[in-house]
Amino acid sequence: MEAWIDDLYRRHGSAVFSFLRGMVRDSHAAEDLMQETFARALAAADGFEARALPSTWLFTIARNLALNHIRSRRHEASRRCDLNSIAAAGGDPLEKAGIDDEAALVLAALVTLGEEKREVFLLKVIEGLTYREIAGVIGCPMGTVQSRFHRALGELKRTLEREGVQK
Amino acid sequence: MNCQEYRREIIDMAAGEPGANTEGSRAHLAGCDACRRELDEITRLMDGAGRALSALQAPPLELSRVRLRHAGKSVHRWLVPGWATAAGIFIAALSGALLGYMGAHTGRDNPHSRQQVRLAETKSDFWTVRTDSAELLRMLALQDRMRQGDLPDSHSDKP
Ligand SMILES: [Zn+2]
Repeated sequence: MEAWIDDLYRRHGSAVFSFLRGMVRDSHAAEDLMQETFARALAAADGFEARALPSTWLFTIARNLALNHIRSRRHEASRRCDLNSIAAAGGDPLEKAGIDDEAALVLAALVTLGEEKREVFLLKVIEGLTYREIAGVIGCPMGTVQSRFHRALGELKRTLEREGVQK
Repeated sequence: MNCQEYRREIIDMAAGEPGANTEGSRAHLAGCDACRRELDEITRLMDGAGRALSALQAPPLELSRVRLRHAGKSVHRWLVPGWATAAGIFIAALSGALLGYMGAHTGRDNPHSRQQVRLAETKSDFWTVRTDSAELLRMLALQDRMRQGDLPDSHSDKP
């Protein structure tokens, strides 16, 4: 009966989780938000808009949930942080995932981006959405998406240069 | 165009944008060491992020939890304090009696109201137009074919 939600999860679950993890950093929160994303998808299947691709529809749900979560936690979070300590933090699934240090630092550097740039960067890198598709997800003009992506790259590059990752 | 202008094009090309000026960028890259280095850095950065993010293991979908959560949300909607319930029953009884007395029937019966509440609740989260699960599955298949290049991407910026 709800085979389509399993199908949706098999196709996009991993990307949605990566996106949420990149947005909220806290892996438990990301897991919770992922379940919530699919719960909302399940609840609103009748409201699915054929105009949107299923993945952009899902990312729209996930993105709004992530932003709500971030806003509710804003007072707890500090944007500026020591990247090396984040990447090396114990108990972080990054270590278990066995990714190299450079990739871990890139991921840690993401947190220094504001949400507007981070969401664009994540949707581009994880799901390979076009500027136009991203514009649909976040509800802003395509040119804005493009300039946010360019600025995200520039900022990440500078942050990683400071940390001695990129030359 | 100068290097600065080409770099914008190079980023779009590296990001796989359908509208990117790939030919122009390649021609410039062939003769510009600085922009080639820039492209290398961008590619490394995007690859690093992609690698790190794709290495994260998504937890399994807990469909029972998903359903429960959803059901919980609907149930929660009807959970009201005891005094409010009592007041509601009293008012409903009074209205019923009044309606009965007047011999008029003004109540609206809407079996879909609960779903509409749910839809309205989620509507602000994303764009909604009615379709069904079958349509969703069809779209999933279509999206797969599009990604595999079987179909032209109507969302692309290609001329
Ligand atoms: Zn150049």
